[in-house]
Amino acid sequence: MLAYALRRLSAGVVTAAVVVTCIFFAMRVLPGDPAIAILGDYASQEAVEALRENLNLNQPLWRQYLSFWIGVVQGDLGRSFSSRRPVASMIGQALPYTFSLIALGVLLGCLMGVPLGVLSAVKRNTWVDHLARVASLIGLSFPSFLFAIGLLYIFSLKLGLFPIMGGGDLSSVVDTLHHLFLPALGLGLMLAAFLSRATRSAMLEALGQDYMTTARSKGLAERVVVYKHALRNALLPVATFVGVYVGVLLAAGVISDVVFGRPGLGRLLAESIRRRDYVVIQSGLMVLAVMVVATNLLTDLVYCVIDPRIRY
Amino acid sequence: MLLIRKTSAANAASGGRIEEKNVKWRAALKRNKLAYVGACIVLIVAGAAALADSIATHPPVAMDLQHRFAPPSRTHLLGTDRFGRDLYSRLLYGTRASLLMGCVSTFCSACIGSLLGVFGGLRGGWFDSLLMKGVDILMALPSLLLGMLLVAVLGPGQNKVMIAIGLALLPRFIRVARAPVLSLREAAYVEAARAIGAGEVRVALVHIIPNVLGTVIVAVALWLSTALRLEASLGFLGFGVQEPDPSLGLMVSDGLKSLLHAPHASFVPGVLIAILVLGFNLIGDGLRDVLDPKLGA
Repeated sequence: MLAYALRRLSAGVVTAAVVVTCIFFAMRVLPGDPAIAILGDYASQEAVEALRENLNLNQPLWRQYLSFWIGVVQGDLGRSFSSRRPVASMIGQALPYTFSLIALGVLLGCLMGVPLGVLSAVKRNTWVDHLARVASLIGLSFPSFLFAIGLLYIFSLKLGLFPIMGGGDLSSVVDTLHHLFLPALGLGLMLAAFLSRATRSAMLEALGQDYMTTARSKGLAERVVVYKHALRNALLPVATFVGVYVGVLLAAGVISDVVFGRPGLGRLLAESIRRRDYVVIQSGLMVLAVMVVATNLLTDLVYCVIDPRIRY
Repeated sequence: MLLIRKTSAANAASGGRIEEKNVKWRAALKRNKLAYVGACIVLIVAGAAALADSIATHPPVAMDLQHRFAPPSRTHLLGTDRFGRDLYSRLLYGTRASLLMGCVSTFCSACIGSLLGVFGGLRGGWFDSLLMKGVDILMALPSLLLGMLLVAVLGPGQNKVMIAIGLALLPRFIRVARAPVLSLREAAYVEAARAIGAGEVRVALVHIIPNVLGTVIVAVALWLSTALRLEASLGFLGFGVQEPDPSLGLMVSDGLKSLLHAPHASFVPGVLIAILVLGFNLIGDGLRDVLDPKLGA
């Protein structure tokens, strides 16, 4: 188990490094001069050259790459072109909002999606099952911003139960949760739509196994058969699905930050792309990419812990 | 498969197996009523978008600041937005722009990705390894983040978003096309073709691609919905079609600024996106049932 964990960790580090490298080179190699993109097509040549010097774009690519990694190790991700603030500090302030959003979103999604999937599987081919499947299909068709805008309109604008925008004061748990609940619920609904289908599928497979017949023939109550035997085995693939879907939620969190005006990584990234603030774009995307790779790695490790039969 | 026509002589020569296959997939099609529902949804919406020039009541960018946030009426079927622009007309043209971006990027990605996947699977070796490493790297990022990275580099705009969506879907098509090739390349008829001197290109075009086509068609139908969602998300963030031209995502974002006064300006295009995505998902699910090898199609 330890050997497997170390192998996956080293593979994860390599994957993260490769993805970060690709983002680094994509910002520099693909068509378009970043300095002109920032200053506009009508900027003077002197201004463009001055900015290129400022951004170290005149240096050879390998030297820029080396400087970049030295900066990463030292915690220096450069300075924002538009605000001149250290990028590491900007990202550091945004990360708690992003982490809390994803964490609560995953929790709410699991609390809604897994029971719905179990119910749908147990009541297979009844009106409950059909209704649940239609609901999840509709939910899967909704773009992420539609959930967010719908919740914002109903619960914030019309009913006034939640704040319209902002991330709240992180030092106050109540205030943070008050600002966090609706955005997290939007992400949770997305996850629940996906998870209910995945759970239903996994439960049906588990319920069709021979040991289910054995459990029933032993005279166990149906509740025990479903929850103790079927669900425990079905949760294994479901946990995998959750881990994989966290990457999708990280991306949807960008939209959620924009809709609810939260000062998370998503809003920072979206604004930086609009301002062509290349330093922030590069670092923000890299942090998100590393988070996705780390989540996939964690999913693999949790998978191994949940099922002791797995040997690698 | 769907596109291969056989003569009755060929059917007789096969001992009636071709006719049996055709009966099976027709029966599968009949069972998939939801696929028909999906097809109707897509045809109606796409048809209306295609006829936008004829059925729109106003130019999509014409402003009327004296009638901002007007409710639905006979003049403005869906009301107006914060600039007094007719929402019904903008919805038609926006749907056309969004469908165009989604479809063009998906089809281009399918063509290029399928060819790369087929040749990668056929050739194997360093080409295939390099291809799959590239696929793994591209798929390490969620498609929206990959799209945002590409837009950050290429800049905003309709064409740039199409490139971004196409590149985001490319690794998936490569994987989908490559997977069946790994077993097909060992088939007896492929070996026979090679033995009589057929080159890689001929083997791919004549023997491999027709057998992979069904899988790719299903993938196109399913990932059209992903492309539409991705285009809507990038448009919502302001990276796609630029103002004053409409697209569905941009209309939702624009409507958000006046959510209290005219919520329908945001919800109507948003719900239309969901309906289109649902339609393509239903078509994809139906095609998957029809073209699933287990059904003998």
